[in-house]
Amino acid sequence: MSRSKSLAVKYLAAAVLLFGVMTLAGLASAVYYINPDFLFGFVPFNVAKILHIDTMIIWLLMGFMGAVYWFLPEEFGCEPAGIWAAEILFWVFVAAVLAVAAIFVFVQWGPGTETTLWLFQQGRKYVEAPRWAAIGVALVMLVFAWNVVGTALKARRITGVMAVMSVNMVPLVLLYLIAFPKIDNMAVDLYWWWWLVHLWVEATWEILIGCIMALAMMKLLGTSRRIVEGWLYVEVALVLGTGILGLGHHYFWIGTPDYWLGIGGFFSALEPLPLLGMVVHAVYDAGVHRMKTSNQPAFYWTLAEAFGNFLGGGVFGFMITLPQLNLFAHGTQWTVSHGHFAFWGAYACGVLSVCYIALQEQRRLVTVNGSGWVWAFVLLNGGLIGMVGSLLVAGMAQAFFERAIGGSTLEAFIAGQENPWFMLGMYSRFGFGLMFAAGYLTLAWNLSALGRRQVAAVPQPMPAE
Amino acid sequence: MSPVVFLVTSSLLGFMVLAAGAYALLYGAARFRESYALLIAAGFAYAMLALDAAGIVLATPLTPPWKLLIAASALAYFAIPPLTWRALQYAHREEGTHL
Repeated sequence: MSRSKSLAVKYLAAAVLLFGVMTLAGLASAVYYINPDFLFGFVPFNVAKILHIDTMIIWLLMGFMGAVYWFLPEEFGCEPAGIWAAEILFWVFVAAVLAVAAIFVFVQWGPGTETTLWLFQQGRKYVEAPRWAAIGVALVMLVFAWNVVGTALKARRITGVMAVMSVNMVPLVLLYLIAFPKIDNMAVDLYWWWWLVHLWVEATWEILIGCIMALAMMKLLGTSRRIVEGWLYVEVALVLGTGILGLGHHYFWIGTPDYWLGIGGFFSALEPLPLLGMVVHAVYDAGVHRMKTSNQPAFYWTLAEAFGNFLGGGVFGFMITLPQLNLFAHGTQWTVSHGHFAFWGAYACGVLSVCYIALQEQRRLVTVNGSGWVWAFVLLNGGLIGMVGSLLVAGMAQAFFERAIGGSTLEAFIAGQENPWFMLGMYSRFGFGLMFAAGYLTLAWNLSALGRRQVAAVPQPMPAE
Repeated sequence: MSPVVFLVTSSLLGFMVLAAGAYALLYGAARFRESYALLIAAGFAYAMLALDAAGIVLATPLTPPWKLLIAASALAYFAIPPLTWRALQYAHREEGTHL
């Protein structure tokens, strides 16, 4: 196996481990809503929540990087440029993640000084990591960009997928730099912070996962390059057309001018349209291949990505995206349900699909099958759907009683938190969270044990019928 | 907007996209299986969508520009599955893998 693929396996393994940490921290966060004294004096709710959302970002990022390092040598026929730097930085990245997690758990906060920003945490949601760690992530991103672009230059050739990915490296690196400034005006700070959270995560990541899935479809289904590249260009056009100004739906209530209400609402309303095309495409692919490939779990996770993205991003998003409705739903558990579903569908399922693709080749399996992955698939997706359904109920109760009836006062907030519908949602979310955690354990077991007893052979992608 | 109308409007918007997804899924399945029954089911799903969109336009307190956007979206949802299917068939034709 090439050095790049060995590195990819390390990244994917680290991603799956962090997926477990994210699940555990999420489960702990769910317990606080039922029992606020949980781990009192040791790990407060905000620390569990930070661990939950930060590991979510990092495991997906590591999953993307693993996927790209996996496909890179196949695309260019050579080892990536600067692979030695990527190999070193992988361990630096892992060490930094562990150090930051330890700081969050054992130090938690410091005085409002520069020292705290540099050593402990920056206090900005999703990018709480202290500056030294943020510099590390920026360095990892720079080397990642060098690996992709430099390999194309080294190989003196470029494919459509890699051209899109190479161009995407520019915003991927530049937008992350917004993680650094300390802006005292909260409205201005949030204005730019959303560039990082929306444009980095929801635009550059969308294109990155689009490239990864294009490569995965060629590998998994033997789909021709011409077709996947054609669809990738369509996706890029749609992301640029609807996703960039869709940023406006985050600008509704943070002190920005009123015109963002119209811009954000309009472009957000367009966002489900391409997702509908994706549903049709998924049905078409499933039909062409009669639901059969040599790698069933990878194929099913790909389908789960298409439908999860549609339901989480499209259906759950559209309920709360128009400004008149977002006024009440903004920042409630309703938003949380949309966020969970959309991230799961858009990114997590894609990364899990690539894990199985890499596993098949690494262990030289003719086919990937069995019942383990089915259990993992059912428990994870069932748990996730149950969680987002529960959060939806809780969020609707919150928006209705706390916001629409109570007028967002402190009293209304407390009444909303004590409302039986809200509490039902919280208990139910915890129950489905346990189901999701069982799914994670099954997945981890399945990924580690799959094919260990099978006869090894070189896998071939199933040709389209 | 009253609290109840807020919840109803939001649910109608979510249902509209859900019905669009059901229409796309059933339309794709109908073309793939060449099933008239599934095509009728797809039509039924779209009828639900259209009814839902009409409800949003006629009965919710959204302002006219947003209602216009909803109506235009409902029309666009009708066209997307057949157009996408045709584009997919065209793209796959040269590969010999089209349905």
